[in-house]
Amino acid sequence: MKAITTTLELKNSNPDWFKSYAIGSIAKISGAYTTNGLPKYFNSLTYNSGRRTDAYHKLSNAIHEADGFYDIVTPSFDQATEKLGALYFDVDKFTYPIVVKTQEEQDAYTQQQEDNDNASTFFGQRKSDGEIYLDRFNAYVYRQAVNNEITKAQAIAGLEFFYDALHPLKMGYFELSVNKLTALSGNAQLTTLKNKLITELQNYLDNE
Amino acid sequence: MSRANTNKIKVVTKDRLEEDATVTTTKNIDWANYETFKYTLTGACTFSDIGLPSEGSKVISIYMTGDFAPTYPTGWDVNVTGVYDGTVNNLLVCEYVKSGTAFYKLEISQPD
Repeated sequence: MKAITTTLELKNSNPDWFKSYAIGSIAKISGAYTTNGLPKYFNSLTYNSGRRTDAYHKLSNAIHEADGFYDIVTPSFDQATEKLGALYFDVDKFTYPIVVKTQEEQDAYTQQQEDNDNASTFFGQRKSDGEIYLDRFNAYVYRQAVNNEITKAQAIAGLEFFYDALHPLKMGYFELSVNKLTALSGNAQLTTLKNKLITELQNYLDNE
Repeated sequence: MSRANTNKIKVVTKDRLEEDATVTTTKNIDWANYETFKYTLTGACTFSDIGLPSEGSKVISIYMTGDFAPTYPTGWDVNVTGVYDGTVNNLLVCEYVKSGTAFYKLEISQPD
């Protein structure tokens, strides 16, 4: 990627490219008819000055540099404690100064990394899957009531019976739900449903 | 009946074609002797006009390819649409109008 320092001469010769850049500012040319920060048409100040050259990007690097196009070099830095400052020109390249982050910025970076690490991804998936299981169970109970396979009172009693045991699924705590389900005791119908739930949750854990 | 001014009558028979398959470095575009040009760039090239009409106007067509950088004659960049793409065939239609202040109109397209 190349950049160039905007001059009055460049602005006058190439208004298309520099209209949004103030004199002295560093222009990073992009969009249609550009490649790698170089324009595909350009009125060079050093190569056939005063005329338009198409396929300007195909010319030699020496011509590009004579016009002021230089590579942007990004220095390596520690993202945990450092950040890049404003782009500037340094002898034969554009580059960024390395700036030490404030403590708040370092803390924010650490938190962001933790939010995106494997453990977070794992528990995010667990939570999502747990909510799906809980929704399915609720829908199953309501469907039975709607289809008159159980009464509304039985449906509410069933939801109440399982509520404490299944609620941990909202947090993705499958193991906790299995333990709480195992400890439940109810009538034959609820026990059948309980065992079915335990089997499904255990299968999820076994296949995880 | 007045006699016609034959100097201002354009006699059209057929357009004259100049072909050059090895265009590089510099090249003159001869407006006086050709109307159509077929060029293949083999290197970066700086074009210049010769034989521009001293009055009236003229349109030329340049069919050009070659993945190199062409630099157009002075004045061609004022009224221009399109950009040359050397990886394909290009058609450059340029009109020169010798009015009080002469000007060009250039249209670049990729017809294929």
